[in-house]
Amino acid sequence: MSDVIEVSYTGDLLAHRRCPRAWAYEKHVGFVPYEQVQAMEGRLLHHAMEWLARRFEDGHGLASRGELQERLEHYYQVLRSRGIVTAFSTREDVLNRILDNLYKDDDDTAKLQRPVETVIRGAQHTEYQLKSVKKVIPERFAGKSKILLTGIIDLVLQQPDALTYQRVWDWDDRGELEGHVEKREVAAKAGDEEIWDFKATKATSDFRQDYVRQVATYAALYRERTGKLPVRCVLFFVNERKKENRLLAIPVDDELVDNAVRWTVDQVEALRATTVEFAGSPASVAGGSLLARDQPVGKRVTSDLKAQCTACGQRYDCVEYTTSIRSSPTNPKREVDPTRVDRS
Amino acid sequence: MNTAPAPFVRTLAPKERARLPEATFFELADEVLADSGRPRLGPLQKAIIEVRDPDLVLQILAGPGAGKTEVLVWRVLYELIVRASDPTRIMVTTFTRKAAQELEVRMVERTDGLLEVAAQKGVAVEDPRVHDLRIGTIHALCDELLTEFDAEHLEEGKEVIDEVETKLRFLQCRAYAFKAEGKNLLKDILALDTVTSLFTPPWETHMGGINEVELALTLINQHIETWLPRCLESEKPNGIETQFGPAGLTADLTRIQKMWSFQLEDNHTMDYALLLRRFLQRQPNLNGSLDHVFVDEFQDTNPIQYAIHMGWAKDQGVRLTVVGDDDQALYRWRGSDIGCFDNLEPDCEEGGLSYRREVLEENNRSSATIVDFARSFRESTVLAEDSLPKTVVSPPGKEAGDPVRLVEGDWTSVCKQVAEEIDALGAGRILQIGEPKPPTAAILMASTSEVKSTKSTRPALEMHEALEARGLRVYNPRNKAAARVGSPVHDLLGLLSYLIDPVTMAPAGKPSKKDGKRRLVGVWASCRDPEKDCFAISAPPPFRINDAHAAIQKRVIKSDGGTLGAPGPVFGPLLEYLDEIRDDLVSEPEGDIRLSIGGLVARLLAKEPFRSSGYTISLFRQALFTQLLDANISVTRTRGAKSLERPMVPRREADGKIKWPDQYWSMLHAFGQLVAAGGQDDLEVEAFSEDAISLLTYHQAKGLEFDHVYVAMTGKEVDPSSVLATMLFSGESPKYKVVDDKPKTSNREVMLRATADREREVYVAITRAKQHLTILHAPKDTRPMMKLNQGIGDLFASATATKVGDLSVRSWAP
Repeated sequence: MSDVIEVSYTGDLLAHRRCPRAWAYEKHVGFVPYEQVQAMEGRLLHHAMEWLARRFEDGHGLASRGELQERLEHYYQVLRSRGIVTAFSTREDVLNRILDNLYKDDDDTAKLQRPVETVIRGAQHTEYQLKSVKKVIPERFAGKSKILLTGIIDLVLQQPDALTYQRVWDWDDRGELEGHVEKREVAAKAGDEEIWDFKATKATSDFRQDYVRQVATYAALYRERTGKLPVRCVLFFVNERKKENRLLAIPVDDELVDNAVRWTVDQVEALRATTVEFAGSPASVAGGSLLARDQPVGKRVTSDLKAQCTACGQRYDCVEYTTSIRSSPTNPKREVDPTRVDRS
Repeated sequence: MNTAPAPFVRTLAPKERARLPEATFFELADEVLADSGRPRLGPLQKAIIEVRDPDLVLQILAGPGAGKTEVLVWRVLYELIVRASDPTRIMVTTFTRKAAQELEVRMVERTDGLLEVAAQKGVAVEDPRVHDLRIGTIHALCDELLTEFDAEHLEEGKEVIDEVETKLRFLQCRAYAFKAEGKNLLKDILALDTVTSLFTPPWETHMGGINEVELALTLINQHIETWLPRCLESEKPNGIETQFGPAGLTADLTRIQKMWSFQLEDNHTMDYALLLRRFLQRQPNLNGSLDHVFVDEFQDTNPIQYAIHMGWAKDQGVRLTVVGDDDQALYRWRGSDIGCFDNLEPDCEEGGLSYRREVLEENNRSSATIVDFARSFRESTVLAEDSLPKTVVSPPGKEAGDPVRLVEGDWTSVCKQVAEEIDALGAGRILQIGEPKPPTAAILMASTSEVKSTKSTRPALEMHEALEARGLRVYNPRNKAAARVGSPVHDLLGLLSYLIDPVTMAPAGKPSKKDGKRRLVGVWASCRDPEKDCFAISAPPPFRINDAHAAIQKRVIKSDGGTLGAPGPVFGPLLEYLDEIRDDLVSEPEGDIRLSIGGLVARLLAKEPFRSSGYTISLFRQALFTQLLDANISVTRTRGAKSLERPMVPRREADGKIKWPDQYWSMLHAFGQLVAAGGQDDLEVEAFSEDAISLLTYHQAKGLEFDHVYVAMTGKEVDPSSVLATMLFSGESPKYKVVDDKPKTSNREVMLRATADREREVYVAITRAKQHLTILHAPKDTRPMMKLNQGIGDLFASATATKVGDLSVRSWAP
C-alpha cells in the first residue's frame, strides 16, 4: 500500500466538495460515469487558451476566430473519440459559445477581445504543473503520511499593459478564506505577475468561493517553486455573459496563501474521512454538496450541481437526488430530465 | 481556412538559468538527505549522479534495495540545477504508472528540500521546474512526444487503447480481418503447435490456460516488438520457419501484423505495440527534442524499446542513463529480452558511443540476514553464471534481524498458520482515523489464480480463504476469476443479454415419444437454429454472433435456484424490471425515453443484490464491469448514430419481434466471448489494496517492499518457451520439439537461460522482504508449481526442524 495520497485539486478536492458520494464511487473505486457532464466545454476552453498563447509565443501572432475554430473542431473530434461528450449542447453550440466569449464578433477574421488579448500577449507559462508534497500525521489521515497535491495553473501572466479589473474579491474571513465580490475597480500595473484560472462556469457559480481558495492555494505552491508570490490571482469566467463580471481579481499575501494551504490540507483530511466512511458502508455516503451540508436533506443540491446530478450514475438510490430532483420517485423507468446527448 | 494548424510546441522558449556549482549542489544534497534520515552520498553515488560530458551512456547496475530511485532523482536534479538543462528536454521512463508517481513524489520532495536548505543558507537556486520533466511509462511518453512533435500524428488524433479495448476490437474483427486468398492467415498459424506452444504465461500450467485472443495478440506483439526491429532489415526469417516451416510463415506473420494494424488505424486507434512501432519509424522527426533520457527497469526492455533508446543515443546524440538489475528481469514472457541489458556495452563500443557502468551493491531495504540469504541463493544457482557480476551486501551496522524460516506441512495448515501470524500483526483491517499503521505483509506466489475447478482447489484460493476466515482483507487482483460465475461482471452481462436476447422456454425441442408434443427448451434469437429462433422474443441478428452471452444469461438465471421459466428470488425481480424496460423502449415513440445501455447499468447497480454488496470485492467488480462496458462503448464511439453511447431504440417489427440495432449484437458477440474466455483479473486500484494483505504474483511484487513476506510455489518446472520465442523471433533457430503442447529442448543455452528466469522470479520474491522472510512449502502437495526450489532447499538442508503444531519450521541464519 502506498504511503502517499495523491490528490488532484480539481479531480479530487473540488469534486469531493461537489459531491462526496459521486467522488467515492467514481474516483476512489473506479466506477465509470456513463455521462461526463461539462467535461467537453472546459477542456476545449483550456485547449483554446493554451493554443492561442503558444502560437503567439512561437511568433505566429494572434490567431483569428477562423483559425481557432479550425483548431477546436479538430480537438473536439479528438475528445469525442476519447469518450468526452457534451450532455446539453451540440458541437456547434459549444464551439460558438467558446468563440463568442473570446472574440469580438462572429466573423472568421474577428479579433480577440481585449482581456483575452492581454492574456495571450502576457503569458509567461501555460498549463504550469504544480506538485507539492506535504507531510501529514498518519493517524489523522488513515495511515497515509504524505499528500502529493497536484494542480495546473492555467496561465502565469506578466501584465504587458495595465488591465483594469471591475470586480475584486474582498476577504471577510482570512482564516476560513471566505469573502465576497465587490464591484470596485482595481488597476493592474504593467509587469504585475499574476496567476489566472479559466472557468467554464458563470461568475455567480455556487462554487466561486472554492475556486478562490483553489487559486490562493496555487499561489502558495507557485511561491514554493519560484520564491515569488504573484501580485494577485484572477479567475476568468469565460462563459459569463456580462463582460464586466468576467474577471475577478483576488488579492493575495503570504499569510493568506499559507491559510489556503492549511485549508486545503483540511479538505484532504475530510476526503480521507469519506474514504473511511465509504469503506464502512458505501451506499451510506450522502450525496449533495459539502457547501450545503448544513442544509436539510433535499436542499443540498446547488444550482450548479443540478446538471451533474441529473447525469450521475449513482443517483437512482441517492437520497439527496431522489428528494431534491426526482419528481416521481415511484417511477424509476422514465428519464424525467430533458437532457440531450450530443448528436454530432 | 485550409492550412493545417501549426503543431504545438509544449513549452515557451526556455530562458537561460543560472548554474549551481557542483560542490555546492552536493553539499545541499547531503543536508537534504540528512534531514530525511538518509545517509550522505558516498563517492560511488556522486560518481553516478555527476553528469560528465564525455559520457553518453551510463548503465547503473543496481541490486535490490540499493537506492536506485534516490540516485536517479539526484542525477536528474544534477542535470537541472548544475547543468541548468531544460526540464522539458529530459525524459524518465518507468515501468508502471505507479512507479512514475513514486518517482515524481521523490523528485518533488528532494527539490523542495534542496530549495529550502539553499534558502536557509542564502544560496540562490532557481526553480528547476521539475514539474515539466517528462516522467511516465514508455508508452505514455511516446504518445506525448509524437503528439507534440509529429504533426501527422497530431492530425490523426489516434487514441492509444488499453488491453481490454484491444481485446474487444480483436474479438469483433477476427472472423474477417485476417483473410487473404481464401484462407484465414491467423487461424492457419494458430493451428501450428510449433508456434502456439511458445506463448504460455509463466503462471499457466497448461495450454488450455490461455485463450485464443491472448495468444493471437501475444504473437502479433512478439512479431512487432522482436522480429521487426531485429530481422526486418536483413529479412532474416523467423526461426520457426527455418526449423519447421511452413515456407512463408514469416511473411504471413508480417501480413497478419499489417492487417491488425489496419483494423486499429482504420478506427483511429493504436495499441501499445503499434504505438512503439510508429514511434520508432517517426523518431527521426523528433531530432533535437530531448537532451537526456533516463530508463528505469532497463532489464525489462524489449527489442523495439531498445531500438528506440539506442536511436536516441546513436542517431541524435541524446545522453542515456539506464538503471536496472539483470537478476530481476522477469518479463521475457512478454517479449522483454535480457540480452538488451547485457549487450548494451558491446553495442555502445560497436557504435562508438562512450559508455560507463557503475554498480550499486548495498541493500538498504532488508535486514542483514535476508540480504545474506538472497545472496547465498543467487550464488548457489545459475544466476551467478548468467548475470553480470555483483555482490549484494548490507551496509555496515545493519541489524541482523530474524532468521529466514522455511515452514512446511499440509497446505491447509500452512495457510492457517500464515493467517494467524498476519492477524497477530494487526494487518489486514481497515484503518480508522486515529489508529497507528500496522506492519505490511504480503504473500507472494508463482500463480495467484483463484479459478475454481472440479479437479482441485487453487493454492492461492485456499490462502485467500484462510485469511478471510480470520476477517482479514485480501488484495489479489490477478486472480483470473473476476468475471466468473457469481461475479457481478458475469451477472450484469447476463442481464444485458436478457434485455437484448432473452432466453425463454418454447416448444421447440424434439417431440416426446409419449404424446408427440415438442419438449420445452430454451430458445433465443441468436441461437442460429430457425426451428428455435422463430419462438424468440427478439428478431435474429443480421450476422452470426457467438452465443457465449446466452450461456452466461442462462447461468445467471439459474444461479439463485431459478429456472428459465421461473426465475429465482434474487434475479427474478431484475428480469421483470428488464422486461418492463424493454416493453417501454419499444412501445414509446422514439425520443420519449432516453436510456442508454450505460444508463441502464447504472440503474441496475442501484438495485439488489448489487447495492448492498458493501465494501467488498463485489463492489470493485461492479466498477470493473463499468470499465469493461465503457471499453465496449469506446469501440463504437466514432460511429455516430450507431454508437452504444446513444439511447437504446429497439423497434417492434410487423411480426411482433423486437429488432435491436447491430451494435447491440456486436457488443454481446465480443463481450460474451471476453467473459466466457475467463482469465479476467480484478482492478488494480489503490482503494482495493488499501489496508489489505497483498496476495501477489512474483511479477506484481517487483518494485514493492513489505515488512513481512511469505513466499510460496518456488519450485515450478523450468519452462523454455519464452527463451525459445525470443530467440526464434530474433532469427535464431535453437532446436526444440512440442510434447503435450509444451516445447521441449536439450539446447544447453536455452535451458540455462530458462532456469535463470525461474530463479530470478524467486530472487525478486525473497528480496521484497524488509524484516521477516518466510518460505512456504507443502512437501506432499502434487499440484502444479508447489515444489520447493532446489536452491532454497539446499540452503535449509542443514537446518534443524522444530515442530509448530503439525508444521515443521526450519531457520536459516548466516
